[in-house]
Amino acid sequence: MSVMNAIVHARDRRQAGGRWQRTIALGARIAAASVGGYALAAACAAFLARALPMSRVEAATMATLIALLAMPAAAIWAFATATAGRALGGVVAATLLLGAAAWLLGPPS
Amino acid sequence: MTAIATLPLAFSGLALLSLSMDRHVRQAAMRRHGVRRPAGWLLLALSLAAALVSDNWRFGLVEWTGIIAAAAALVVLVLVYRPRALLGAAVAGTALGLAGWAYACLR
Amino acid sequence: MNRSLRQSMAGLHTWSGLVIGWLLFAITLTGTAAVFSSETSGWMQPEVAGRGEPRQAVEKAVAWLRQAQPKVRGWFLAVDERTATVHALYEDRTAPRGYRTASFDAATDTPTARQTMGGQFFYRFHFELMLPNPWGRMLASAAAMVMLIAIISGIIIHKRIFADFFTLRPTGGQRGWLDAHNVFGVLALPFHLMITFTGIVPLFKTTLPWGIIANYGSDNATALAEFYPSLARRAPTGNPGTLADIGPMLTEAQRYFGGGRIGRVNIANPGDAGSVVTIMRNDADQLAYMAQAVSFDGPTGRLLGAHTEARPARKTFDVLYGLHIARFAPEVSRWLYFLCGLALAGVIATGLNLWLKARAPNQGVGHWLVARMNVGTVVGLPIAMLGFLWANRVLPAGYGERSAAEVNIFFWLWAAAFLYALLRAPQRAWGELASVAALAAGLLPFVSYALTGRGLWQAVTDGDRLFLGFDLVLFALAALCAVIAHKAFAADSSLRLTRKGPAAA
Repeated sequence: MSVMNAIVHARDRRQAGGRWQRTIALGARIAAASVGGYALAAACAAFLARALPMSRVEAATMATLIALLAMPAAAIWAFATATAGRALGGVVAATLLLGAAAWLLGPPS
Repeated sequence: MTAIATLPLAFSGLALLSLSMDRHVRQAAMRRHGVRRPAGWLLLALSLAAALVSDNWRFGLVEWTGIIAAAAALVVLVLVYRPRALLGAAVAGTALGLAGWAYACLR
Repeated sequence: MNRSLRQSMAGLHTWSGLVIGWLLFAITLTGTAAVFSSETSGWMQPEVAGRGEPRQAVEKAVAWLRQAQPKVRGWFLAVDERTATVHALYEDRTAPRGYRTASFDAATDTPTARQTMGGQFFYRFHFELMLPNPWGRMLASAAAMVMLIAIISGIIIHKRIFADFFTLRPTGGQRGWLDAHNVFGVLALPFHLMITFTGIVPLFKTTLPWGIIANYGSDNATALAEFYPSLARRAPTGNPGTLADIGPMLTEAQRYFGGGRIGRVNIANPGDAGSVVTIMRNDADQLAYMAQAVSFDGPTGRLLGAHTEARPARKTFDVLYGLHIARFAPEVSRWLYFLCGLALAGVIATGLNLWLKARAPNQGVGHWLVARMNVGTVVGLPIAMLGFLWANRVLPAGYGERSAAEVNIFFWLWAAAFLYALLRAPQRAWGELASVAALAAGLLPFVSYALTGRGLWQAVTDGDRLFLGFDLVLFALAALCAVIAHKAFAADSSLRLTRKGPAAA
């Protein structure tokens, strides 16, 4: 029953650091997946709405659909990636990048 | 209406596919036979074809994905309660599905 | 795949699944019931027999609204093809939710059917949990997003997804439950992924409006107009006006729809000189939601505009929406949606049970709480839903705020079942509450017959498929609950007799 073993012993995953560090690491991943994931989706929607070569309403719609797929992808990645630092850093960086790009593009004319 | 064609054909296709797997061949106390896997895929393709040539191919396609789930559930039930009857059921399903398709075309 | 990825996904799957499992079970089960919301509404208003053509029902509804509700800001008519009934919604500030509905078929001059939310209650609970807007929708959407994450992480950890496709070993132990969880999940996997994603999509204006805001800023009016060009808006003039005859407008609309069916008729400011009649095509005619609409000037019946959605991204959105609410679905497809919905509820229920099975029992507060919340939700919710139907029959048809009372009874019953589950040992509670559900479902057709005069035998002789189908589903539900109760009692070791007497609990 290797799946059941994996589930029950998920918390035994070997990590550097003691209990406190592991808690913070877990908290960081959860934050990256949830708050970070939502912020990423929001920035992604804003960026694509302005960047896609379609009419305002079409771009906004398509952007939203893609952003709604980006959120679970980011959450999965936040837990799959090697370290919690990478999870948080990666999501924050991507969010800032997309957000800045959206801001620079400005609203459609 | 096309369910009388798609469901039996999907059932038979999935049944043959399951019987091409070691675990289920053993459950059904049978011997392996190489023709089952390609035959299973062929029946699944026929099932999809029956769905697509129906009145509305979009509705047919959506319905077919649900039909596959229902057919697979039936195969699972047969494997749990009457595994040895599965091959016979697959043959019957093929006949029923083709007859159903003919009937749906004639209407 | 390396072991570490599997471990992280396994942890993510287990805990995200547990945290939202109970809420998701409620959303999934009520959503599954909402597949047949038309029939549920029809069953809950036995006075409306669904005779005649829907078009005539629309005319009857408008005729009644003209003399009974001339001053309100809008009449919203929804045509239910399946029950040949029109449900008219109009503003009423004295009503608990600010509006009332009146139901008409082609023979109804004055609506006399009992006030009830009908099948719409399960639908509303499903997407907004009967919480104030926007909190309910946000919570439901958030839960759906977590479910999507749980499904994807589940796929990643399920190594032998094809080899295990048909595997079900009902041993009663942990392995059997895992097999069941996998079978329910994998066999209908395309459905589960589709229904979860398409469930999140329609509420994006509440949950992820940033695309719209990026392009339109705070200009909601323009955004709405470009998003839904068919919803022609015109401010009321303030001068009184008479609405023209609706018949020719319906004919013209159906001509534009190429013979398609009427779905919705919205009349804005009916008593005003600037009233607008918008007629939308029935969602049963195509996959896309709200695909076509025609607008008319109210007082003259002159065509104002017509719209068929053809823009690719907008149409994609409409199709995704349509796939979720499944109004397009013909009979067989509806039953498949229903069965797949039950499978999804089964995924969640078996998953919640697996969490318990994978851990040794009697280990702390967590285990204690999860075991009881499982019973309270998985059996408590069906009891509440059945109670809602019972309330519809037991409360007198003429009773004032019966619509709100039915909803309250739903919540009170759920709370009661939950309390019972908290106080009782879970092994016992499973059997006892499942028995209550079985009785509630099995007796309802007879109670319904006694209180309304519309019974199973009459349904057979009249060819009344709605009542027949509904009663048969209730019997099937009763059988399912009885089987669950039987298995729960059989597994309860404290009920087994030993040589000395009943085994110590």
